[in-house]
Amino acid sequence: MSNRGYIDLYIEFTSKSKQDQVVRLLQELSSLGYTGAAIACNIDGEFLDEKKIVEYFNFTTNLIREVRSKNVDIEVYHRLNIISDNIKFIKKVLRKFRRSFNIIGVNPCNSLNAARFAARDRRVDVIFFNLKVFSKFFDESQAKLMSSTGVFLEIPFNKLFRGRSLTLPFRVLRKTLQIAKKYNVHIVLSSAAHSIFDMISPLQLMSTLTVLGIGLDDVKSYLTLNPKFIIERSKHRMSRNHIIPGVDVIEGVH
Amino acid sequence: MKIKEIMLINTIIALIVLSTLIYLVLQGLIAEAIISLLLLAVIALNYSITKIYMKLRNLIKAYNKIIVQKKELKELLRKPRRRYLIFRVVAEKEVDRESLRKALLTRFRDIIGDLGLSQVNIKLILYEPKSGYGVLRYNHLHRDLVLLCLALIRNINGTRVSLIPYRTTGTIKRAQEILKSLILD
Repeated sequence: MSNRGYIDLYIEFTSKSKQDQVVRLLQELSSLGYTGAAIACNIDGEFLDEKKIVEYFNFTTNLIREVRSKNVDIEVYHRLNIISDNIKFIKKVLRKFRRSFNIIGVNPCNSLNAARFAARDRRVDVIFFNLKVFSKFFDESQAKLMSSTGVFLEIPFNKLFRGRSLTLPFRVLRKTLQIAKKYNVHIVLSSAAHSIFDMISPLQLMSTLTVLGIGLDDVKSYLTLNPKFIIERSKHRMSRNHIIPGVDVIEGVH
Repeated sequence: MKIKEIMLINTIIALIVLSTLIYLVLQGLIAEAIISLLLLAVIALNYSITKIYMKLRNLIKAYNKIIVQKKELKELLRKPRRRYLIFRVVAEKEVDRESLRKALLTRFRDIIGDLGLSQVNIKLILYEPKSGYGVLRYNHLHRDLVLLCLALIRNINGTRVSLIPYRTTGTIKRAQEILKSLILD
């Protein structure tokens, strides 16, 4: 995986997703310059649907096999989205599945407590908000917490720009970027596509923030370095040598 | 250590040496007084060198700032040039040229308004409905806006679409060549 390759951290998986369509999407993404994509499985509400997760893993295993057989130059990562306002449920899912997925994303729905909890928990990689509560929840306290724990803020393009009106998304983005810059919160840009018709090229994704006055180098890192950092951090945390942040077993030293 | 701190330390040492010098002169120890006088001269020299260095540094900073501003101004004052964006329409159904042109204009007007539209100066130059490839002309100063507007076109006459930019060229001839090779592929 090269340093310059773009990574789309959010490709949505649903039970209706068909393998050939997702393979085509990955082929197109690869032709657009992406070197990695995370297929996300959404768990929402308060009910843990383990069948869906088994189905997801079967789907992604077959998908990776097909992608390799077709020589598509793209890495596929596993991602779990916990969409719930119940802290107990989020904790339960995190405890059970943290080690099985490369990336864990949390959407706290309409609960501020869940948002604060997700920002405090180091097992969470990224947080994304619904458009209506985005600016309400991503305030200075949330930013401070996220900055201290290293949780990334995700900007999923298709989720934000879903409606026809663009005033609210741009207002929210402007405010969010100001706070994120002030408190040094890391940002990740993603497409949140679930079909080929939601696919967005890296240049288009970057232009969303460059029109708001963010430097091109910074925006590029939101699509390249930051996603790569999340994946590598996650890999490192999943390795047997990792104990707690800052403490690792070093083999071969006597 | 910062330059301001160095200057402060210099001043403090100079004051100490000066008071010592006055004391020595009052005591009548001329030889020792000459040494401290020399020391005071060295400190004064150091002080002036630091001040000159600071002035020079500020001058260089201001000069660099002017150069950057000049470059930015030059870029702004440059004659707007035309760029040709080769894009592809990924759609459920085939989209005809007229619908695409209307959708482009409507969406651009929604996002950047009439004034913006006149500045961006977009025009659908070429479009091949079967392959979905097309060429869009725009003003080089508004590249990001054009890319964003293309990303925000999700629906044309009830058909789900995605407009993907591929390449940008400076001449229509080159754009046609690339388009031909893409269609043949």
